[in-house]
Amino acid sequence: MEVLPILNYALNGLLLGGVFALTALGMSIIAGIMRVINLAHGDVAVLAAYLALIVSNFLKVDPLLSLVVVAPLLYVLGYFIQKFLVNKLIFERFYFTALMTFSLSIILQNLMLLLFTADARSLITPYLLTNIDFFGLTPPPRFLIGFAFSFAAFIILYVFLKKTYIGKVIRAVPADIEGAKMLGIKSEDIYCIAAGLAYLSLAIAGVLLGMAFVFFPDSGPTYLLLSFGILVLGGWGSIRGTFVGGLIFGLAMSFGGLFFGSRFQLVFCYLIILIVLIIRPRGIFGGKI
Amino acid sequence: MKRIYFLGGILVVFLILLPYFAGRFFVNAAILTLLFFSISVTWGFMAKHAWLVSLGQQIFVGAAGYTTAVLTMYYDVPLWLSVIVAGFVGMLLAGLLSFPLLRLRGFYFAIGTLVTAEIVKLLFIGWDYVGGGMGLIFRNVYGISLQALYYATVVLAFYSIFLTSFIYRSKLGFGLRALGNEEEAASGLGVNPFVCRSILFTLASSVASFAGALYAIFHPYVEPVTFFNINWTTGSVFVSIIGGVGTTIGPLFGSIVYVALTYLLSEYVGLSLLLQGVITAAFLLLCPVGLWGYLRMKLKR
Repeated sequence: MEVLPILNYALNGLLLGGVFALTALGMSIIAGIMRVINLAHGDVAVLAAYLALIVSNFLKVDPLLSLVVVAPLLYVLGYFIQKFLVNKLIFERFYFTALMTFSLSIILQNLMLLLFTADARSLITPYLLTNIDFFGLTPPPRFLIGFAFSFAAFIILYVFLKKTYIGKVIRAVPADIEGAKMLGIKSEDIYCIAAGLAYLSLAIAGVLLGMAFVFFPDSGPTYLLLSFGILVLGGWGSIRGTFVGGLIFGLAMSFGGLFFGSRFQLVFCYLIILIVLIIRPRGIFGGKI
Repeated sequence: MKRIYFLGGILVVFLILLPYFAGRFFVNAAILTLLFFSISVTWGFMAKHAWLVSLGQQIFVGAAGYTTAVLTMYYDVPLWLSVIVAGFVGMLLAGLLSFPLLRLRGFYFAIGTLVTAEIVKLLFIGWDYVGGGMGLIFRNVYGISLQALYYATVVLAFYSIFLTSFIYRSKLGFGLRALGNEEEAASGLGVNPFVCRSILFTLASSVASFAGALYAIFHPYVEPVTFFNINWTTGSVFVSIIGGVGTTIGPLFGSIVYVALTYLLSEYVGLSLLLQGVITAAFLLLCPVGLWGYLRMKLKR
């Protein structure tokens, strides 16, 4: 085989991996801070894509611009879901939280099915369909834009958690929940803010995914499994790990498609998740946030 | 205690006589109720006593359903024999899957089973030997009477009750409870966590397998979307939560509500699932012990 097609596959994989990494970021934040996995994760991303579709059609704006409305909306949604539905169960037996988020996933999927029907939708816009040719490298613009936004979101969130006061408080809670309590930090409130941030990052990811692929009301579980795979590769709550995990996953998906055909592409990715889970249940880069 | 045996006896007589006074419609509904009851009893037992929340019981439903159809159609094995064989094939599969899956705990186990179920479904869709995405039309069962199938599901329901109460009282049950309380200490005293959980997972999955084999007779069109549907898991979750996780009587209430809900809203599948989700969430928040747990608390007072 020639070098250039392989390079193109690798580039596509890396760019796509950036978008996937942002999809997983929300799960990584929640998992790192509350030791909980949101099983409705993928459905929230799809919900964000549908909301962006409505807003951009209604206001006649670009899907990316619709994030100005959709992202705060999802922050509020995440905050209140955490406050009223998850926080009550989070200190109980773990399967209550698991089943609560699982029910949320079922609710969201079927709500979207009733509201938006089972038709395929997408957030594709004309400028995403132009061709780029850079010395033989042909990255699709939809992946390029996705990667750029995802990278920016990662940097912003990283700086937010490391430098600002509220970011430091968020990191303090999982490090020492008793100590944080003694300093007057209510962990429940911090969980709400963290969930809001996770949903906000998921809103951006959902819109970027909607620009890259068609989506259906039941696309959520695929995104859930994909995010979980990245989390497994990158480790609980490690932001850098999540980004690297996303890139690896994107590459695996791209080359899996090349070698096994699109029919078994997903099977290949799921197998990678299972194998990594079995070899390193705590993730390859398991570390702190 | 005597009252419980008395009520149990009435229930048994009722179940045996049901096909003689109820119409076809109710027998159909009863079959579905008993199938979901059996799966949920073992699902709840795993969740409560071993903290194993499996989101992939449809793997065994599907695998056993396909085994029954393939054995009867391709190899001319007698139908009921292939049902039994399918149950054992499901157990074998569960035993093998427990090696990778039971290295995982908590959420990891839940998502590990979900991922595995997705892989198995995609593999069956791509497998031409069993008809790929189209599946198999299971013509051999057209002669089987509904009554025979009904009694088979009654047997399955009692099998699942005896299995869980047997495990609960056996050494395995003590081991599991010890592991649940203090894993380090229990394994220090010679309880092997992997072996305990693996045996439990295998035995519990035998119920889902037999249920799948019987469902292949009930719904003689064996195709991946129905047999590997996540509804098998969402249904079990719903039934267990509203009945009471890890109880025996609770899932009976739960499965009756479940089947009634699916029949009433059979034309609006989305709405029925939406309601299931809402009801499960409401029970988790307001009444986490379930209907039976609530009733028992009231009765004790």
